[in-house]
Amino acid sequence: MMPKNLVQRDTLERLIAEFPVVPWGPAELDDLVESRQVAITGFASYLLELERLAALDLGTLGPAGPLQYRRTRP
Amino acid sequence: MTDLQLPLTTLVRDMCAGTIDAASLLARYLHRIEELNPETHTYITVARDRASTERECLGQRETGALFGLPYAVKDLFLTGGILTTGGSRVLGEWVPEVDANLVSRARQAGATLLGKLNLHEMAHGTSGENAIYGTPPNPFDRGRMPGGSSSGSAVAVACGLASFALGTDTGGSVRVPASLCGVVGFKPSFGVLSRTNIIPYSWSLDHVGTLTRRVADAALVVRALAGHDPEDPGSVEITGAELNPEQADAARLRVGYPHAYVRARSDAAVAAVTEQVVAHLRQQGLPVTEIDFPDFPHVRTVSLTIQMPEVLSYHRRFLPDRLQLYSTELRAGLAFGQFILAEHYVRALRMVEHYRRVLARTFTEIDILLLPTTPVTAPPIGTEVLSAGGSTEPLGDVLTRFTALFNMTGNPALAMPCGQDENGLPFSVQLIGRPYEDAFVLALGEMLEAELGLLWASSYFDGGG
Repeated sequence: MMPKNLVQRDTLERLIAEFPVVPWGPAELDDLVESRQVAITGFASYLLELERLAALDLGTLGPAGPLQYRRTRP
Repeated sequence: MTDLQLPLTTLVRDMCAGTIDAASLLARYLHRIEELNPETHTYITVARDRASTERECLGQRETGALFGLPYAVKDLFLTGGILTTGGSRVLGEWVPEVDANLVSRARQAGATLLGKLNLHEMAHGTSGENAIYGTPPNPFDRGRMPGGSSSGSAVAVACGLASFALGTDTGGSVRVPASLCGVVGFKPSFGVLSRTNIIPYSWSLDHVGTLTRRVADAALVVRALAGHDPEDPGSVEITGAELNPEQADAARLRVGYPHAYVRARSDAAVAAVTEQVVAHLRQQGLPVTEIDFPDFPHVRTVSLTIQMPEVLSYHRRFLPDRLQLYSTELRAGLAFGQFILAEHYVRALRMVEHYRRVLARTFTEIDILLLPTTPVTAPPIGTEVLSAGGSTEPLGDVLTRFTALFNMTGNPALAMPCGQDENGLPFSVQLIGRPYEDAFVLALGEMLEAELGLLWASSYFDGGG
């Protein structure tokens, strides 16, 4: 899979204009394009990780259900 | 040893018998909080009036599993008639009308609520820093961070400002501060402790956990508070007996230690002290096997893919009017959640299923997995990126490196002190069991604690324990 370009500010602005999402301001969008809040993974780094995750073949494996339903009732 | 340092079972027994006066103990805690809170920023709200009222009601019964124990909760727990902030400006001067389910259960068990504890704003962060209410300092070095998000909960126990505390753990938020502050942090299996009327961070991953001085204290509190809650869709039916370490034979447990995995991902000193723990277990006759542990390279990404849309979903109702009241850090996190696509979220849930199956296979060969809790000791306050095990990453990614997986898989996980580094900062080891085999984890923890001893922050406890 070819790596995508890093997320662009105008992409996010168009999403905000066209999708039912929160009208994020310039500060939040700037942080998504180039993270200054470095205590968690920046959005751009995260997207690169997502690409690697998407490359995994999970076959027919379904999503995890609620854990407690697996428990044998006492 | 003072009353504030006694095992909770001893305190309860002596208060029920009248040899320790519960009212005097409460007064001592309140006095200590008054004296130390200005410098520790541990409590956002001290519930002095409610504590006195609860104590007076207790006088009429003199029984209960937690009888007379003064405790406190992270300020995500709703408390009727008491300010609830989430460590944020967003909720304003919100005073809920109801208690969290666990606060009600604690009262029924005889515990006395001291107040509401500081945290990383709305649980979004692992450093435990809070610009609004002040950052609780690490009890072993005031220049170091306490860890979070349940920072106040860990510091309160470490400094003797509560006999036990409750926190929440979405990726390590009970175990990480326990590790950095030298106390015991226990995240029971998913659903053991009710989350009703606790401000959520991520419904899929949130667990309630305990912060205590001793492993036996954690067992006492969890057994007293556990029980099915129909109001919490994640709640599970479990009996006190199933959580009782006395009914689990620790000496027969098979322990697995992924030596190479830990060496590659930790500071050398952390890996070395964890290997000393392995040696202690072997000296006690337990079979400790070196195992190959799967790499799980995407754990943090998978965790964020689940967390961030969920935290946005909860907070969205506040955003039209109160967006600017969130910190810059949390606003950035909420916006992060907005642009994760549904297909990514579903893929993350499929990865969780994959993790559960892989871990289930690992646990066919062993009963307990042993890991460090954090790959480093407490970093300086203000640290944003750091290196551990040869890689430099954002702080949150490093501190949750060994904890976040078990929020997705729901396993019980116990963080307990296991020594101090050359600067006196605590090391911590983590014991992980199969889901709903919490008693085994606690039993092994008690056995290990008898060997390793406790840590007392000398600034707050003269002469240690």
